[in-house]
Amino acid sequence: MRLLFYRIAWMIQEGMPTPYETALVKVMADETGQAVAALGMEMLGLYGPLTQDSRWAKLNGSIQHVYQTSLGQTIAGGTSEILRSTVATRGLGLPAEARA
Amino acid sequence: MDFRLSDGQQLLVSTARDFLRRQCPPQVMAESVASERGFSAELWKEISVLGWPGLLVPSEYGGSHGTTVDVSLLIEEMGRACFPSPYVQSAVVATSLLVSAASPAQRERLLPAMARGDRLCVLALTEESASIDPEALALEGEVGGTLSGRKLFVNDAHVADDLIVVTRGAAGVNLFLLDARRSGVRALPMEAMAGDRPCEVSFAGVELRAEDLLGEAGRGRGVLVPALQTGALARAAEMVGCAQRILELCVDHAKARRQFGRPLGSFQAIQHACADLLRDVETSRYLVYSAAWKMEQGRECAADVAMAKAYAGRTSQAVARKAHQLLGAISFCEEHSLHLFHKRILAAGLDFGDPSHHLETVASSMGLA
Repeated sequence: MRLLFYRIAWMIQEGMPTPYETALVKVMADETGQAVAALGMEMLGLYGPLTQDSRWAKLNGSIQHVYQTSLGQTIAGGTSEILRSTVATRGLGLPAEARA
Repeated sequence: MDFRLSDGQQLLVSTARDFLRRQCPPQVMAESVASERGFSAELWKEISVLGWPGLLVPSEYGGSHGTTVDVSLLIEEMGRACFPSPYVQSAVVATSLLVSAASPAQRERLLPAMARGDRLCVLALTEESASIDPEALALEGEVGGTLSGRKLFVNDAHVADDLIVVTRGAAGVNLFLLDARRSGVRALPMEAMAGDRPCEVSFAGVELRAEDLLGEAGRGRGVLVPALQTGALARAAEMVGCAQRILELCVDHAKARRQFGRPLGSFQAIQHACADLLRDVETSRYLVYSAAWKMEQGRECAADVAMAKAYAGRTSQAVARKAHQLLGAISFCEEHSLHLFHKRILAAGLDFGDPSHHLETVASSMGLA
């Protein structure tokens, strides 16, 4: 995934068009981040929901904070649904869904 | 096979749904969750008038001697309203332990008051290991000795009148029924995100007398295991209710909200996502009902309860996560109740065994490991 980001940066630097690439990696990064945060919560078990105010919190309560904030990433700056449509239409040349 | 609910069960469900819709709308629920106590004392009184805390209490102690299926249905409705209360901890788990193991004197002292909703009792089991396996117990306690140390993740201990404390003894697992106000006992909230109210309960040289023992010395494991199953099943039922309500919020939104000149729900991407939510909710629900029925019939139900708890835990969380995606930015607002449903599901999924704990039970039921 990191390489895909570097490649896009390189493409932009070279002045090449990126019709679908950023959409593709944003979906990938957002969903990976959410999966990693959810895994972190799962690993912490009962300690997971403790906030940073708790003397029992692991990792200063940071995992529950990341878990909660990560949920907005597949919405903000282009939802995963819109971006997948961009990949399908602009990237793969599939016909666009009919809109009223 | 008969999937119909009895007339009494249908009445219980419709009464509960109607009561909670009127008395615990999202605004009231959110305020109760945010309050210091974590639930509404007034609503607890009202559900006590309805007899809910006494549902599992035998009739001779003032309860209605309900069944496992009855209580699962009621808790599902509580989940649907994200109703915050110590119901599962006190009226289900502690009550089950008292009914199965308490002496006549202990029953007489606690059960009628608990059935009336005047007294709350919670189980103090987990420690720093965060495990519900009795093998993981480190806190030692014996009749005639003293209790010093702590329990962690004791939900609702901050409002409990009585505690059932699990200790390691020479002859095996001991259960002690202690007054939460006894000298040397202290409950402190652990500070968690909304969902449950876990507490740290500390004991400083608390004397353990023979009359404090719940059940026989060294035989605690035998009464604990079914009570933990009852707790796991109750939390699974609660998650089913939460997920059902989330599904309804999503479908309502998909019908009402318009994008690109069409209802959101007319797009296949949304339709397929909603269909998956329905699949998740219904599968969890019938796993819960089936496990509840087997438990009620006295059949072997360990693997069924484990499947229901693991499956409901995983899928309800998936439902909440997908709901954030379907509802979009509005669901990230504090005023929208989705985050409270989501946090309740996270907490319920961990209470009385997380999915991996229960999947191990399922695996061993198949002869694996």
